[in-house]
Amino acid sequence: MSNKKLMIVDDSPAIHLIIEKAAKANGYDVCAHAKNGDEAVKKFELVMPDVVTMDITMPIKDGLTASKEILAKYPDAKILMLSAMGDEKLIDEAKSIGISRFVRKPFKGEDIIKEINDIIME
Amino acid sequence: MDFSSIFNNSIKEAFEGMFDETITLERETSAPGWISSKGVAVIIGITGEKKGRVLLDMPLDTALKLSARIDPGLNDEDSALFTAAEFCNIAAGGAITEINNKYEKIALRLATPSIFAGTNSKIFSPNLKAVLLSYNTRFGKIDFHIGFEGA
Repeated sequence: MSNKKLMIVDDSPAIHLIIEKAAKANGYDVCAHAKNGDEAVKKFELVMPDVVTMDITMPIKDGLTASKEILAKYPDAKILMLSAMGDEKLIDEAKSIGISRFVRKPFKGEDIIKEINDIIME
Repeated sequence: MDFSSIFNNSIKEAFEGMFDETITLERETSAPGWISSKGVAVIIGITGEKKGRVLLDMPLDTALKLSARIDPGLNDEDSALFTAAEFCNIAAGGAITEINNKYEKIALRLATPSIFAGTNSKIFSPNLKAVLLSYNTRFGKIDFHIGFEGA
């Protein structure tokens, strides 16, 4: 069975590194990196990842807008939202566009892997 | 609204969560209308019902040590600047989340961070009433200036 493909979307190199290390150690193939929502939308279509970790606050295009665009075209896309913010209004907004999983920053690599494993199993 | 204690708690949580280290509040004072940067400054705008900004200031050496603390591979200046920005973003995000959840009528949001590098560059923030939170860490001193319009 081939490894599941993961795309990491965040404007912070440190977050890319934390997730990539944990993902590779747990058998995931990190197939793409994007540092803003615009890159994420474009790269998603090229690599068709099994899971996307998506930051919210990013330059050029934020993670909620990018997720909305991806989910409009690919409703089965699995997107794990990551953010420093996690108030009820923001979570409601994420749910309204079809995102069910949300992780607050800061996080450890193992926290992300647990969430990625769970979203894959859905 | 006691914004400074909310920010103080969030700054501590963010620092401990990101770097597995303790951070100690050394002093809390009214902030001047401008700062002379220690080397790395990150500014994040606050939008919504109350407008303001969070400004993080630290020496480049501190930012480099913090970045390498996350991973020894993150030992270059760009990584240090982005790590400082992420720390500021997480600290500000936690505080804004707490404020939004606590005060139903407030829905604050954060802008993307702006990063400035260079010692002695002056940053002015007119029309803001700001508080200065100065911290000690084993990597060096870190300042947060938190200001709101008409606070």
